[in-house]
Amino acid sequence: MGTFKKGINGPFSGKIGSVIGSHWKDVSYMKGLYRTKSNKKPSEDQLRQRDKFKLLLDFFAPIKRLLAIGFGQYVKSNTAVNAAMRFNYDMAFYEEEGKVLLDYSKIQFSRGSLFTAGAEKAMLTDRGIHITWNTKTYGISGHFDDIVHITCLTYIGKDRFFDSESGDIRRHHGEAIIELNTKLKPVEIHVWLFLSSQQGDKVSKTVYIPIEISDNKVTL
Amino acid sequence: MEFFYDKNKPRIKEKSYGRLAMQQRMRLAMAFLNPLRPIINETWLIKGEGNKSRAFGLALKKLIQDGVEGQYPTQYILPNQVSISMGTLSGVAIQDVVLSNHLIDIYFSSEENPSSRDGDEVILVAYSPELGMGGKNDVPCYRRDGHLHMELPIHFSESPFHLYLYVKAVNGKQYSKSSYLGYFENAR
Repeated sequence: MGTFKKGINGPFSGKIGSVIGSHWKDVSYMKGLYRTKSNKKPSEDQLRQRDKFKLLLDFFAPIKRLLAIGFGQYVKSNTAVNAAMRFNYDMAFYEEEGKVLLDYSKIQFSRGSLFTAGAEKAMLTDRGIHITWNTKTYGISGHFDDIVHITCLTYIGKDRFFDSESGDIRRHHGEAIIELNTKLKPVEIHVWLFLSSQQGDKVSKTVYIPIEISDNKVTL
Repeated sequence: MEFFYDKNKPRIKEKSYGRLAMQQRMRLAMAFLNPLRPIINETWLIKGEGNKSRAFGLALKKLIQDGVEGQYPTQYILPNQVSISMGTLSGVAIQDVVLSNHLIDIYFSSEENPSSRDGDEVILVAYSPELGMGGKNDVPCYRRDGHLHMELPIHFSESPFHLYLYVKAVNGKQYSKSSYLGYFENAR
């Protein structure tokens, strides 16, 4: 049964006749009752949009905590994943032979005015992925104790693994090693890095650090 | 009264040319100034009567009024009209700008003036709006020195950048109006 809040014109929650009221993140919603699903087949464009949406949503699902830092300042009546989806949706895809794929170099886990480190490099070593960056701050936006957030995506066969490191690594450290969760040699690695201020009120944009893996050596 | 009004048909109100042009000016100005906000919050603080938000708002207003050229939708920012600092303190006269191998040297002179002090700090800002990155000279330089040396941020090795210079009074409260030194490319 629906319950009125804040008087006769206020929002309500629950079912009243043919409408349902609900409340989420300070936003009141009113929606109609569920109707039978349409049997109409989706168009090609609709299918493509659904593929894109699912692809990006599945990609972001394991890294919600990271997105909460990177897009935290854009979260009000939505979630960090919502904000990340909205920001990345127009630029995160490319098509190959009619198939929608993610363009990893364009994906951003954060958006803000904090300055990035610069000279970011990564290489695969026996201990894991060794990442280095510039430690200077140049006096405008950025401090030596800014927190560095690193995310690595590795493909081993068709399996996908996320490894991330944040909290203990600071801008002034200049390097970090991300230990991989697996002993198997990955066939594809993607690394992203962004910074956040110690207070958490500022973040930088995300820098994509590519690594190419050949049979015998790893090149930048 | 509209007899054929359909409440399900979305009402599309076209935005006027003036509104679209103004929105674009605002966006351009905001994108240019926002990465420099930490500097502007300080240098415009007297104009902003001690309020940082007001200080940034005034800098933004000045840029929209004086520093945006062109007609919508091809408006653009004039970097030489951007004031990253504002005040009555006398500035310095630029003699030469030398850029070599990721290092920059500025030679300047300053006339004797009752409002200026030898110990006033001269600050150089290199800024790339395309990257949203900037940097200040990390070694302090003073009015009496006549020469400023700065190592450019590593980000500018492959990207051109703008140079601005301003003076900060010994008391740390007053600033000069910033000077635009030009658009440079770091040729290694």
